[in-house]
Amino acid sequence: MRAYYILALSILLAVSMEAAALSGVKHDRPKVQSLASEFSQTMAIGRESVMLAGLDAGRASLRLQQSLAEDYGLLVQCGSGWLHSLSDISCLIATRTLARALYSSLINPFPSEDRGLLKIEFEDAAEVSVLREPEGNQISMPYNLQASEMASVIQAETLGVDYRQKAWVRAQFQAQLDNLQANLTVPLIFSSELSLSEKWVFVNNLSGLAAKDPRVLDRLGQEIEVGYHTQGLHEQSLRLVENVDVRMPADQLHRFLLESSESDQALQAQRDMQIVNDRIEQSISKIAQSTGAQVQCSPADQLSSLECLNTLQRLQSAFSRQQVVVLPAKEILVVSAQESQRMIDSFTAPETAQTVLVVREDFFFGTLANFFFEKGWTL
Amino acid sequence: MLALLFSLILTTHATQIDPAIVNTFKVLQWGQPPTLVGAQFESARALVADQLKDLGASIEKQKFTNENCGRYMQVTHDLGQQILQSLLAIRSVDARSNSDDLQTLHQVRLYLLIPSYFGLHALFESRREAGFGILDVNHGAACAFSDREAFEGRFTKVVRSLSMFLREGIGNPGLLGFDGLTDRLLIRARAEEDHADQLWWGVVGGSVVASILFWEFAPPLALASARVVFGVVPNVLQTPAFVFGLRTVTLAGEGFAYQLADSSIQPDQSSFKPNQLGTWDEQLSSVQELLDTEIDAPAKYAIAVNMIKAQMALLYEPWLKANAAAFSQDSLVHP
Repeated sequence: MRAYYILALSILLAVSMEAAALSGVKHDRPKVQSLASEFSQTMAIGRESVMLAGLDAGRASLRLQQSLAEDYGLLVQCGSGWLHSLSDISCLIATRTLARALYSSLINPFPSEDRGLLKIEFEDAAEVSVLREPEGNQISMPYNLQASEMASVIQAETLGVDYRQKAWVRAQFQAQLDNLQANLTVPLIFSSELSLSEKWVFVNNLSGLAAKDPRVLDRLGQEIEVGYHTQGLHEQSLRLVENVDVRMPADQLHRFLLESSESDQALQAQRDMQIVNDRIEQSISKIAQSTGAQVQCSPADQLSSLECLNTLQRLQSAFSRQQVVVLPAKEILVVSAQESQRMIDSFTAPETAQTVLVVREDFFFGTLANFFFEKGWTL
Repeated sequence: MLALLFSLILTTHATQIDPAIVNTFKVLQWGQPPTLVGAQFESARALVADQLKDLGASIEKQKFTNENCGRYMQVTHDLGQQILQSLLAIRSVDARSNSDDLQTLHQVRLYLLIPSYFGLHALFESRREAGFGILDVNHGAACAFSDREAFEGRFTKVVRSLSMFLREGIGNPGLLGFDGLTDRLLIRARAEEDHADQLWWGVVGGSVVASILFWEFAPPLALASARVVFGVVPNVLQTPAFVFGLRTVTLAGEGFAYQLADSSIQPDQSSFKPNQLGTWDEQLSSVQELLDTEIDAPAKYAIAVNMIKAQMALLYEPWLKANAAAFSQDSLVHP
């Protein structure tokens, strides 16, 4: 009988403790939710900052617009007319507000399978106006709206729009690009200023050329940058980059790619690269000696050898001056701006997250020093 | 049975967010607030200012024939002086008004100047202040000081004090703080643009009126003056070629004046990157560019602040990734 009393008392005690704990959780829940919302905002800001690092207002607006096009299928631009034109600064203010609203999930009006074209134009005007077209709507709005105001305008105007046609173009382009890239020995990098249709036409052209003459696929360089200007294969800080104008006609593109691949400059640069690779090995070994950490430039990255070397030497320099006494990481991974962006975007926690220090190639020395200082690891 | 019940209770609570994570996140969000306020702030600032002045005086005494040494010392000196200037201009956090834009600009300037100063100190400490090779980190050139150790001691003391002051006196704004700072800088840059636009239209309107008045009154006045001076109007002044030439020159002058007004009215929106330790020359040039930037250049500062913000985001990235699960929807639904 006594055992039953003890058991009943235990259950009573357990239930009351649980009830007290649950009421505590209930009380804390708004706090936790607000923290999660701030966390999501911090991530959005982090991603945006990495993406825009070092860009001036005009280029930062373009980069953000490109990103919104890729992530949300939104075509965003700033007014260019005589009456409603916007300065770069105003354009950046507007685009940042919209990006923040989207990335922090204040609005996400597009179903993932139907991401297509909705054109948003920011203007130096007082009113919102909507132009309805069969292939999508165009919304013109003042540049200085709050994020919540932008959200409500977009949500009110995007119901029932057919985005399928644009989605089909995007899928076709991606398939062709993947196919081409699988055969090309170097990556194709598109300038952020290019529109989807420009990129598609270029990829079409290049695919056609490759089918006729496979020699165009064998590149000496490290990458081909497609933009609005042309420059033959050249040594740009020992990085063999070929700048190709996206508007180049097929025959001219063919000639250009074949001629530039035979450049003597490329061969010289390759010889110089051997020296750089040797220096990289030396730096890695010295950093390992002074910190005990294994360091490497991200193997899956676009980082050039010289950029890798430059960063390693700056790190080596910082460590050899004993500005960082104890390194909190077993591994150091040097990444490019694009790779760091990808890592932040993919956002999966690797098993070694706590022990890997990720350093972007253009790391700002003072910030790194301050970071270590804050954590008590320096000076 | 009891153990089972208690373990059930404990398991239920294990999924809550760790208070340590919450605290770390708060630090990440808001950064480190300044702890030196009021009199403590003033006395710490006076100490740093004295050390900077002392180092400045010591630099002025140094004489070098080597061009790079001369340049390095000059840049270090100028940077120290500008840090001092901004240091003296800011107020303690408890005496700061949110609407004071100049305070914001001085504060941002310190975020940029002080790390650049760290960079120059790092060069000195590694005996590479007169140059280093990008392909060989061991290759460096040091300047010949009469008493290098004493100078280095002073320099290091200033750097440490500035580090401390940056953290304790000014605080570290954190990611959201830096974002707010960027917003304010961009809004200020936009206001400057508006002001410049208004000024530009004022100049255009004024010059149109001046031009009308000139063409209305200048030719008859010129003819009357010629008549007074020469008795008659010289024939050359009445030839179509002369009149055409005069008009051309005057119109070209007006165009030139517009160009000049435009370039001087428009605020500077070029960008610069904070010191990134490339080659020796790039590093010094980057600091010089920073020094040449007027305090009232919010657009430039906004870009530079974004650089710092991006670096902070990357440095905290492993932490953010590792704690993502703690903030996931599951934790909220099943606490």
